[in-house]
Amino acid sequence: MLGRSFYWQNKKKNTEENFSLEIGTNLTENLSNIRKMLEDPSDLVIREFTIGKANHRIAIVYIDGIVNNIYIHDHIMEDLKNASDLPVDKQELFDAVDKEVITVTGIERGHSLDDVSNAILSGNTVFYLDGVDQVLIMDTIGGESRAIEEPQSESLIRGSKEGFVENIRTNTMMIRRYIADPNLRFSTYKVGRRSKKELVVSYMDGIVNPDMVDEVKRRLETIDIDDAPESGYIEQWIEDSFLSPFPQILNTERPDKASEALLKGKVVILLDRTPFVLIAPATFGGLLQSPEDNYWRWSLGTLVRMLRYLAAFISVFLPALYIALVSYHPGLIPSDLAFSIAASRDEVPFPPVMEALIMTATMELLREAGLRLPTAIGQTIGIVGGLVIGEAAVSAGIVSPIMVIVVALNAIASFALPSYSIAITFRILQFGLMAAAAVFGLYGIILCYIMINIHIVNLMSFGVPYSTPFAPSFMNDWKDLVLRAPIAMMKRRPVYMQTNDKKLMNKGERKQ
Amino acid sequence: MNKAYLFLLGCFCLLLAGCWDEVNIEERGFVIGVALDLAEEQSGDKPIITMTDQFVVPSGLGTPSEGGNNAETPYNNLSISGQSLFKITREMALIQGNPPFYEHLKLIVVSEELAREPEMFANSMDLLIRDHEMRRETKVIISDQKAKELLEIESQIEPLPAMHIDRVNENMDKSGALIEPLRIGNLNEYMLEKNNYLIPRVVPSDGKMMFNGAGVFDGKTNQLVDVISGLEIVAVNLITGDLKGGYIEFESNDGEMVYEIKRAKSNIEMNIDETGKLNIDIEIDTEGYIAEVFSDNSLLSKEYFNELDKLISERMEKITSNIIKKAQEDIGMDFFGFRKMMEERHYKEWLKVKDNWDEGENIFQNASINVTVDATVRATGTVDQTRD
Repeated sequence: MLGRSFYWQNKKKNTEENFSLEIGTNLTENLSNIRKMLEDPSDLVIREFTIGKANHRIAIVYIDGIVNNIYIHDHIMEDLKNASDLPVDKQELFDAVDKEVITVTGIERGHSLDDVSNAILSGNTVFYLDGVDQVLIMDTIGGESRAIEEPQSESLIRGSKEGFVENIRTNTMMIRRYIADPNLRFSTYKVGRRSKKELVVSYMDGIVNPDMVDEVKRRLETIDIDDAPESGYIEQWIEDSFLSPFPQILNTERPDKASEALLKGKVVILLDRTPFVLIAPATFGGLLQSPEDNYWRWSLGTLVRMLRYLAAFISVFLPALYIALVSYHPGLIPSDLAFSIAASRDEVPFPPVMEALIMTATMELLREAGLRLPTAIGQTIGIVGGLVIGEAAVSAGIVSPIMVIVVALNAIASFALPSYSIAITFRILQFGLMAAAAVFGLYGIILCYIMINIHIVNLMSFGVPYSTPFAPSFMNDWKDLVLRAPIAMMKRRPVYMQTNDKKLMNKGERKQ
Repeated sequence: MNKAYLFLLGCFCLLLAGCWDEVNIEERGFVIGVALDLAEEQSGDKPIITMTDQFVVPSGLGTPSEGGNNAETPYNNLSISGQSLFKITREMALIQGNPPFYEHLKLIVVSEELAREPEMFANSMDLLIRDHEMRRETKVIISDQKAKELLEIESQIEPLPAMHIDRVNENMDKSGALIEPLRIGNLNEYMLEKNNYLIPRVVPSDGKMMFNGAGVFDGKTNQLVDVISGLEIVAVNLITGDLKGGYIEFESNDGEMVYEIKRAKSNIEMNIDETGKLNIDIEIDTEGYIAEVFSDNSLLSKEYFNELDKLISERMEKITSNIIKKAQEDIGMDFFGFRKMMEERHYKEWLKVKDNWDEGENIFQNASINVTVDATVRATGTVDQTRD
């Protein structure tokens, strides 16, 4: 699929317009072919001039905006104009331009109109010489792009402030800066029948399990879509189970997280034009980890990890527990609290499950509304929603104050999770649990919990069990799970990744 | 396709169960106290019991932010008479919109009048132990007067009378005159093992209530046999080693003093000699402070301390001997739990004597019981004298 071009799909239409797909020896015809193919867009720049004593006609073709203009000027135009002692023979001249004159670093030859159109559309510059049925394709990709900024979705207190950007070159550069190892591999693919985005699979040769890389590549090669605007498309195409609510591939904006994953033997997938890179495989434990856990001392890391498991529990179970306890098992609430809940629910006209649904739906609305608005207004929405609606709903007797606490705690807990994708999963599961709690009480919650567990242990991510290292259990990996052992104690790479190089460190002896 | 239908069918089956057993929290009638009395009017040969349930009125308690609505009393007592307690609880559902819900039951008060009747007490406890809504933590007390009156005594601090009594019941660490609260689970155990037991006793007076002594129950007939006083309970607690805190008044050369017991330990040795006589040696070891002195002498002298130790020990020996004497001679029953200790420590001997403990050969009554007390005064309080 990657080799096929959109052009062939539209062959019928194009042949009617009657232009040749081959590059001929006539420059004027060649240039008119490219104009016709693209229907002469306004950003298409064709610069014709002559070089050499024999005044050979040449042309430079590129699309304005996606090329580096200064670079074209300095390394192509200037070089061509200042060139002297050029051969007279056309083919010799062409080879000389390729080998001697032009100082652009990336240069290759093209033989068809298809090569030309693909090249200029992705920001390359094409050199035509009249009388030669070949072209030179020169890498001049450039244009405006966002500067490296702090990652918005994963900002940390301690750690690098660099986040990935839309430009894949910048992104691979950032990973290279973290890992200056000759075994760092970048395999490039083109994705999207029309968009032809660059996709890079990155892994550490010698660490990674080769079967894992083969599997990732096999799945990537099945991708056949028009366009992958974001790495989410790739994620959804290659994940193991599209029915599962759990994310089976991690995404991150942080180069430090990506390079850490590479060194653990995972595979990182980068896509052009998105700052979100994918890390495969993902495990349940890994979704509750943040790079910052390792940046602070182990005691804080451990505490925060445990706190996250608590947050995960709250974000999934709290509203369901409220419904179950209030509707079915008031005997399990401490007496004073039970009386207080009963008093506060006295004027509420709805059963707890309706109350909980109203409040969680309101919460989701607020969250969604806050996301769409500019930051300044978003905060106002938060305050208006949180305080005014919460307070007013209680005074109006639509919900009880305890319910507001439950929903607020639930929302805060889901924001406390380091990965947005797992937070979404928990939000979805929470509704299922609420329904189960409304129908069966605690019994329903436990049934649901068992079902979720069965699902998790069945789930695989690229051949790695999702629930590992809990089950199948690898005691060595428990050092970096709920607890975060001191750095010097974590001597091995994750066992569950079946890496080729198992040791993370030597004995810590002084180097000679 | 078939699978999808099956799945849907399964889902519908679940939905058909439709919120089974769902009763929202505000629709429950939380019963926190139950009082059991003999009914005023008795007819027929079976005794009629009046059961009083104390329901919580949550809106009277109010939410913490509102600070409580004082216009409404936070509880509502409902009394119904009948032979079967279960029938009574169901009759309450005919009267109250919120049917009784016993999972938060804190306290069961039984009137002495009812407890004295043979088998009545055990019969009335049956539902309270058997029913699935009842919790084993519920405490049992007996009342000198009508039990339902006790559930009407209000307190400023704790608006719910049953909760108030429940809290006072826990003050063992401040007063030695309270026994360990009797939970209904333990009561069940005593009744099954036919061991005698004590139940805390409450006396209402002038719109107040006060814990005063305990009722001695016969483990075989489960009826109230006698009542012991608060001071006697201190002695019982000293013997069993259950004392969590309390005080002893004693006379010294410088007048009356109060010794606060901070720690008490008892070591009980028992054996049966060849003649079949039971010997029990009890060693009591206490530590504490001089809490109050009614004189102006300094207490800072080692000899004086030793003398105080001796005086306190003598005083304790006296009260403990008295209660043992009372148990052996007046009441004729072992309510210290010696029978249980025997079972735990000397099972083979216990098998021989278990049916002759305080009946038949009356092994307990004929036992020789020795008490030695070693009381230690740790300090004089924060000062050695308060005036000169």
